[in-house]
Amino acid sequence: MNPEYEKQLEAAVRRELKALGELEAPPDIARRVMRILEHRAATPWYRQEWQNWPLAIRGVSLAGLLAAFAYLCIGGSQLVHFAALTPAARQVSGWFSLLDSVWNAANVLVNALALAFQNLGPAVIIGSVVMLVACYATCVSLGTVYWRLACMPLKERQS
Amino acid sequence: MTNAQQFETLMRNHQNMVFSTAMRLLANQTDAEDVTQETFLRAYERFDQLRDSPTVSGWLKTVATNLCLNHLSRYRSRWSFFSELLGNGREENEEREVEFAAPESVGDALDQADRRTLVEQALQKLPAAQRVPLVLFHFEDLAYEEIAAKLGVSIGKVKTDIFRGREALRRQLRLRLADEPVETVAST
Repeated sequence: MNPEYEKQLEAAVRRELKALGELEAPPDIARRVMRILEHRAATPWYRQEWQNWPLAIRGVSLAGLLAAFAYLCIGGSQLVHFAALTPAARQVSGWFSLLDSVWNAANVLVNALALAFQNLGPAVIIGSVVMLVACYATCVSLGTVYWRLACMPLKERQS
Repeated sequence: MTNAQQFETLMRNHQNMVFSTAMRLLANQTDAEDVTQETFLRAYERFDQLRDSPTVSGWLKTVATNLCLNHLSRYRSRWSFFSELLGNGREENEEREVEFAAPESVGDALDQADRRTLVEQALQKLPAAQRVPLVLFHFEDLAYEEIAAKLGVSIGKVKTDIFRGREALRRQLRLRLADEPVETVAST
């Protein structure tokens, strides 16, 4: 890039842009903001977003939440020491036994697939990989085409 | 004068400046209006500090700029997957889209208002990658380093994008450089 040309170009563009001045905002923008502020003022604090609560209440609520969280963490860790809760804990772990069998089945399936791959020739494996890549590329290309069509201005699509 | 009235006055005094900043960065009327609205809502939360501050204008401009950049980065991340796939081809495509037939007598026959409209249109039709650094450089008077930091890109990319943006503007507006002969301009 020619530095002299760049300087001249910068100066020419600067001249054009500095001459622009300000754009005119829509005349009702101030009214819209005032309406939102009036609505906020008319809404009680507890029905507003947390960020808009009074600072003191925000502080208290944050401290309360943190205390509740800490209580739950400590309480949860202490629960396992209660003998009375052992049968309940056993029952809860029983509910998750289904997940355990699903995990075992998935493990068996993965092992079987790995074994099958080991026994297949490299040509089959490479062919499968190529087919998977081709499928992926097709999906991406179709997505790109749809995206272009969706983003293209209506006028261009009609022409 | 009540608090609300004072705030409304402040808004009316600065709404064009905030809206211009947003409109030039976003090139979208609805988004620019949303950003203008959000900027003033944030200003109201700090109105006690801003009321008599001499830097209120700068504060509003900074907030509006940051809101615009946040908006653009959200939009960019939404489409980044496809944008990356399209790569440079997309940029060229976008650049081609912005070229519109400028009248032969641009600069001479058009009056000032028309000229401004033409420049605004050309600016708004630039791809965001070129428009945003260009606006930050020429309107916000930020240095290349500051722009790079704000946009999270390298200084080299900022310089290239600004150069491309200026080139696109020069072509569209048929700008004549200081030592460029008139014939050359007419032939471009």
